[in-house]
Amino acid sequence: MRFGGDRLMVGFALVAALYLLLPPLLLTVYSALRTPANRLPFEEGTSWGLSNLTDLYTSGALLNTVVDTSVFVGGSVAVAMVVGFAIAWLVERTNLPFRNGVFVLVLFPLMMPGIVTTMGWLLLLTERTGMVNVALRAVLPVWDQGPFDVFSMYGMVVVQGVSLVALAFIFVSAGLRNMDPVLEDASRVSGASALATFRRITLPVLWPGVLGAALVTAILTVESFEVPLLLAGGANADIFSSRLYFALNDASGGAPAYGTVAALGLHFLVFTYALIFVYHRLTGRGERYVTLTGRGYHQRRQALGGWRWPVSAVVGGFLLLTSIGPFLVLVWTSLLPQYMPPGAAAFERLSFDQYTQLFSDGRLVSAWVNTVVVAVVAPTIAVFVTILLAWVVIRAKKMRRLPLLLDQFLTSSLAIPSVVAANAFLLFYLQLNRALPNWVPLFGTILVLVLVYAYRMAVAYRMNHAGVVQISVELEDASSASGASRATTFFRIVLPLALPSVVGVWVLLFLVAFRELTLPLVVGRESPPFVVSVLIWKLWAQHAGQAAALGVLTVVFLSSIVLGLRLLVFRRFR
Amino acid sequence: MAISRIWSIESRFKIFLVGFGVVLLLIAACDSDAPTPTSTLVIQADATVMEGLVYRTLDADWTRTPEVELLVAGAQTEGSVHITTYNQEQVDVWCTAFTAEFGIACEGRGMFGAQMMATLITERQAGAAVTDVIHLSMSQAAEVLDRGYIAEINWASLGVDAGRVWKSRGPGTAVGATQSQYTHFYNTDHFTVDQLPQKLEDWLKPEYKGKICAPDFLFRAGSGFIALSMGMDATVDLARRLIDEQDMVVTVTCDPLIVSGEKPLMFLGYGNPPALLDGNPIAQFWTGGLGVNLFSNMVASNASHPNAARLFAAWATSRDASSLSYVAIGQGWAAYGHGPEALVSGRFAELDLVYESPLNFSARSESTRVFQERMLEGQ
Repeated sequence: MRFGGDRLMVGFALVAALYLLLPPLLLTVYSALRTPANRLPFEEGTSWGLSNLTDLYTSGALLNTVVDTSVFVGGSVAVAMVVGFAIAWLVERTNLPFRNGVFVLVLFPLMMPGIVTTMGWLLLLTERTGMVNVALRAVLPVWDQGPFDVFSMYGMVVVQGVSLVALAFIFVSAGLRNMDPVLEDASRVSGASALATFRRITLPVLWPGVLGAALVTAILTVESFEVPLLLAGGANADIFSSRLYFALNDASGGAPAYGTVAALGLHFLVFTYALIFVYHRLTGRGERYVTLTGRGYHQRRQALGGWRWPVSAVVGGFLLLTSIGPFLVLVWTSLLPQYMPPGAAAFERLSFDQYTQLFSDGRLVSAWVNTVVVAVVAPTIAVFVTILLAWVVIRAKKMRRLPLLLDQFLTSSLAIPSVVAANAFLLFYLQLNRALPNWVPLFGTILVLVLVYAYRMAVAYRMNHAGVVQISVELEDASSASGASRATTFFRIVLPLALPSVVGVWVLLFLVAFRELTLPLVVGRESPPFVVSVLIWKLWAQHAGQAAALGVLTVVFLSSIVLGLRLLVFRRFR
Repeated sequence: MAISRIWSIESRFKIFLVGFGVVLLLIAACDSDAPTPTSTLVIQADATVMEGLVYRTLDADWTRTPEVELLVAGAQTEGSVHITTYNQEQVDVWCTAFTAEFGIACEGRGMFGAQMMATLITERQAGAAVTDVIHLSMSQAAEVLDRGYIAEINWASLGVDAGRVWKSRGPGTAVGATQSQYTHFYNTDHFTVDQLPQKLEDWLKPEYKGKICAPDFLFRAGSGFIALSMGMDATVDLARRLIDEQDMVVTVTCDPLIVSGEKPLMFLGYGNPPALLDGNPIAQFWTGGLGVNLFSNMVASNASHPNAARLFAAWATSRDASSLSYVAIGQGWAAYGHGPEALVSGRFAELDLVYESPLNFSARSESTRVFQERMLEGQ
């Protein structure tokens, strides 16, 4: 494949990817090798050295961190993948009733700001006053407290795993939606059982999507902050992100230990590259996964028969508990100044005062506008750049080195935990500001937030890659044979066929950006420009009711967006 | 084709690992001889822990001396001043009042603590004179003083009580402007005053098991103060037993847990938070060993508005400025009556609090660092 006249388009995407991804990569490596740890890497008095790395090995607790983090990650991924796959299959391939409703409900955790979701779980499952425990004890009065304890490793796994079900669902459902059921039909006609068909046809065809989902959920769990911050201390668990948090929030008043953060990040980088390497080994032959061809593509749903309503009840019960439960706690808290368990005292204090006070807060409108701008523009950049480059990587087979390097490079943002990336961006834009004249405001502006948010390319790239790899090249060959340029083919053939996954990616990144907390907390200012997640974070410490009210508004807004897109875009592909 | 592609990836990965190892070895060869951090801590004598009590007696208001009047003219010529601190609300109330009083434009930025040092250092290295006045806690103030970023000023000539002035290793001087302190909270629906822990060891009593929450950052920072009075080993032992034996939950924020009654006791909260105290069944109490922080004003040595900066930093020590800060964020100058109850009441001297002061702030920082390290390493 040659990109003669279309080099400008590809070149632009490449430059954008380099600009967005190189700063955190290079600064992480650079900072890890500059000592001492508690000085800025470019500050006077620092030198090259390995002590940031060796200090990690000489500390006695590293093994504990590895073990606890492995259990946390492994358990969370297992929960997310098993549940996410099952629900995706039911929604996309069966006649499960209320599928639109299930689609929206399963995405609910993505719409709730992470800190609010975790707090909702905490209030549901705390031993003494948690709503679920109180209800269970009312029905079965055999316990003094509990039976569930959210401050435990299994509590952490359940909360994190359930919060990632939506992500696994999106990955798998995109693959299922694009998969021609004729393959499964052929298997069944040949006498294979449903289980054998699933094991030998469905799963292998979906392999890139499933592995991609497992990869992403594993990495997101390792870098996740909300669950470890709220629950790990109570569970007495030593989690990777807790170590990052301690290094960045030194209570002794010193400068953040960027060297330690970068050293941890460097290990994370190697670990993630190893995962990506395994992913490549297992999915290297892309043509094996082509399922969207030009011939007789159609979709058909499998009838659940007598299982239809029992399965619906199980799915409904699960979603009510995991999606609606935390949201109801949020709504309840939004009607009170602070969370109180249901009871006479709480009912006396119910009011809409928190909403009134929230609307009178001058920061609300600007935070909302800023968030919408950032959450729309940053994903648009990331999605456009990655769909284009995913197409290049998949089709440019004759250029052996570039696609491979590009593939690894574009996946590398996964390898940088957001808190490490955020600190690298902070240093980068502070340094960049040094080079700019004073009349060019950059740091502290919304533009920086847009650019920083767009670094999350890896998820977009992997999902777009999984979407494009399913499109047969014969369609593009037909376009080229008809005289269309590569750009025309891309915009008129590839993009429309990949639209379900493109829209899915965009929606996912939009949701992630809307609730993103780590990046604006580190890179943004305490003063405006605020974003909604930072405002929730600030309000939560002092006005939990108002924070919950803002969380409710956020969920309602995001639900409307997702449902609208679901109805407007995906209906075209039914 | 596919196999060669896989081999290509595999080879590349191996080369990457080998290359990474070689780079590490090369860097190890030129590693600097940085001293190995030590975990031993010499606890300061009791006198140094109590020295900060003196701030309670410094209730003289800021006065407009002749030097100040000269400064006002110069400051008005400069036209504006820029402030950097943690809290935007504090910046806003101070700036509004300062502009109203002196007719000098004022703006500023609130910044998260973790971002503060990176920003100030980078701006300084860039040679950019972005901010004029910096208001920081004593330990972070020491970081900028030690780096030589702060101007040396004769504060007494600017009408500020000389007792508030302090310095670290650098040439610059800082002046105390506000104070705040660590405190415990309890849910009044679950405990009466008589049932509360009277001293730190009481927290280990069986009746408090499973009922305690500690906010993570304050737990670490506050334990640094406790270690100054109790010793590091005893402090770490107390913390471990609270977690292991008393099932104390350490988490980001304890407010929902204490208000709901899930964890009706909060170990090592901070300040005088109206959102937690007002309208909720929550009250404060104190035990010995709790820390008292000093927040200080400093003028940047490269301030682009040096006169306005000096005027602002001096004015911000006044009773009026303290009152504004106290109303906005619950933090003022305790000797004016603007602070948590234990600081402004007669109980101040009887509580064996640990007062941050020029004699002990570096020991406090070090003890917090060691406490964090030992808790993280499980030692």
